[in-house]
Amino acid sequence: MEGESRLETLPPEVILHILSYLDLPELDTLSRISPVLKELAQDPVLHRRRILIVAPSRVQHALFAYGGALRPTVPDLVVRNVLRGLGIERRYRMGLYFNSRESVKQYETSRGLQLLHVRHVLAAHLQRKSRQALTRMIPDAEVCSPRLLPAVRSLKWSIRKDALARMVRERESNGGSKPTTWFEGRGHGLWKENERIRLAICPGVGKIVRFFEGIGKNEEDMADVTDPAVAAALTEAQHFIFVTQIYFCCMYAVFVWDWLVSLPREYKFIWKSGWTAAKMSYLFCRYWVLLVMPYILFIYVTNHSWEDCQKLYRSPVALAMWNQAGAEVVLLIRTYAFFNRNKYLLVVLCASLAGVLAYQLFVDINEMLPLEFVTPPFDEGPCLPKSKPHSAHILGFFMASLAFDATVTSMTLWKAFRLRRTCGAAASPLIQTFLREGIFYFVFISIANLINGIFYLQPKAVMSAINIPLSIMFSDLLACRMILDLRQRGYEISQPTVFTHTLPLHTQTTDGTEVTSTMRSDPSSLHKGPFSATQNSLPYLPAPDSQRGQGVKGLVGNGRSATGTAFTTTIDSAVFSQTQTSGGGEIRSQDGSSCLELRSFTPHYDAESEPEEKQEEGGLARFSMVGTFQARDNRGETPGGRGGEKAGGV
Amino acid sequence: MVIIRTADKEKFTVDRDVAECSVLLKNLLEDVGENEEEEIPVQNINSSVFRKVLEWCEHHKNDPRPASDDSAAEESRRRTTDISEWDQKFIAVDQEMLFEIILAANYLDIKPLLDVGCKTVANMIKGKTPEEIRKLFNITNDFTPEEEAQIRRENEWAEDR
Repeated sequence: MEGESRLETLPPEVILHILSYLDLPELDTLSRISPVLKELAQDPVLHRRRILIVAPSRVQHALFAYGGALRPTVPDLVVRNVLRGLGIERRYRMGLYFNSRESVKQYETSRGLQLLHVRHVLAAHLQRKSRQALTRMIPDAEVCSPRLLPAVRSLKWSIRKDALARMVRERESNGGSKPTTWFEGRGHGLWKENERIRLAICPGVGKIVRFFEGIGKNEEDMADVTDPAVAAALTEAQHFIFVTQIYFCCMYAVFVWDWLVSLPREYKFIWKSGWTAAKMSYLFCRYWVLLVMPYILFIYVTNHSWEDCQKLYRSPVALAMWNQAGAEVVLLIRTYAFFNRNKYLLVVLCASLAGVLAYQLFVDINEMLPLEFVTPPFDEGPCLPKSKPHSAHILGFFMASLAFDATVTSMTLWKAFRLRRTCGAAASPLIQTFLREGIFYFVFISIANLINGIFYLQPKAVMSAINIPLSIMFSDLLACRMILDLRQRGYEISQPTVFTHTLPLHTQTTDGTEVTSTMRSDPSSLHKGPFSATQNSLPYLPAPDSQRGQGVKGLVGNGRSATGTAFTTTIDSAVFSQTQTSGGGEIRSQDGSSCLELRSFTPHYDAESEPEEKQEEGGLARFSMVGTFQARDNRGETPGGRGGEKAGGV
Repeated sequence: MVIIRTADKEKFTVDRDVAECSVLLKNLLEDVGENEEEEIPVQNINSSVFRKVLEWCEHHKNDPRPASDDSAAEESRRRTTDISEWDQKFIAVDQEMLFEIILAANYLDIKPLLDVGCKTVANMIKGKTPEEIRKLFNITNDFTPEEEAQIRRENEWAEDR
């Protein structure tokens, strides 16, 4: 106690024993107390035992407790000065750790050895005979004689070429890499890179570049409405859409006007007649368009929201395609009749029409998108359709119907010309034949569709759809008019006002022979004989066998299969073939003194022929009029409306 | 029974069991054999301290003797500074006596008693600053300021944990 602590007088082993119960902080504290304790606190054995006891649990805790969350990172360790010695290598090189002459010697020796090694390697590399060394042996162009100059140059050039080829070959063989990569890498800068070489290496690059440039341009277009070019395009689009809308409205007005004007004739020739395909197609052409177009105008002319347009934009096309279909059906029926009711033709035409319709439906359902609104602020506008990008199906939509029309029209024209040729062109002028047969209507309908198609093909995209109204309304109007005209003509034919001559009157007897009578109302043409006159007025009518008094019944049968072998009653420009039923004994016609009254037109034919008798072929209206005829005054009236109407039928 | 003579000539008559808790005495007794009459001198220990040690040995005479080379048990024992309740009361003496007991236990090679003493000292040291420890054990500061600074620098690794 006197100046010296009892603690320090303890034997060192006892103090160490005491210290063995303490941990680092206490040991640190003790080491600061006195030199004796400091010595003991730093005793290696003490620390070894301490670490042996402490470390396992401590390491376990530090590394793995809480799922390793306590494990220190390397920066942590550096900050704590736990991870030391990072600069050992550097300090060693600086000579900080040399603690003896030997170590210094060792260090110097190792450095000397390294330098020696490098020198050896370099010398080996330098002394190897390389190809470059070989090329150097060729004298330079400047120093060799002028005579050798070309040879030296070509030699050098070939050496370089060989080296180049060898490099390319090696790379291709071992790496499997293409010369392209070599050009990009080591061969880069071998020649001046220009567009041609780049194209040669990557042939598709031009297209790709254009594609991406195009994308950029499109984005600019979409983004910048204020761009003057875009604004001009928008204005133009607005203008043409407006024109199209007006066009639609005007066309519908024309259609309604035509309907009103035609109403009396329609009543007379359509409503009062029996139900035939022609009547049905007429009614469809007329009233479908009348009913459907207001809806289409509502869609196309008034403004709608984009959501509505997404739902509605297909419906107008779906409805309007039946307009065209109606007109086409009329043409089909007419052609069928014109071709002498050829079954095969009917099948072919029906099939192609069905194909056209199917294609149009496909286009409507699959190939259309709503047209974007062009009027700012672009939130509402008319629901016009447009074709999908890079698809020409809307053009095809109209082209299909145009193709059908053109086919039918050309067939009809061909037939008309052929009839004229076979039957002699001496008779009525061509224009008359055309008028009589309604061929002009064929042509007009085709032209309407053709105009529409042409507008689709012209380069200005905004104008392409402008003639749709013509195609979907005007053709129906023309078809209706054609039916009306034909029926009216037939009706007029059926009421002769002037008889220029008397025809021989055959009366039907019970044995089944027919009566044939010919009447003409045309005063301009004189007839030498009853049948020659008939022939002249209908040039394509072959010389009727009935002239020889043969039974007509068989001829009728023949005439249905062979064109032109018709006969019998000719009224005005139409020829009525008339036969009788098996049990008939009626009077078919009358002599010139009195008019023939058609009491009824029964659409019966002979028992062995088809029941539907109304037929026009080559302008020849042939009827089997089985029914009652009454002799009447010469007032030129046919009270039996039914027969008259039938005469005008298609 | 064995007779033990301490440094101040006082004689203690001790049970052989009790005496054998000291490894030193145990070895001596084995050497001496069954000669009961011979006194065993214990040179370095005063009677007051030896009485204290005997008291401890009386109390702990039935404890199992730790195997000398049972290192695992020793390690587990070393890690704890806990002291049983009786031992705490026993060791609650002044510092002089404490160090005497430690020295005696060391001399007599009574490992458990030595542990108790050392643990007590360690518990006294724990959680104290150097100044407090110096005061506690009456240690004078022999370090110069330079030495102190160097110690602090050397022992940085032990801090900041």
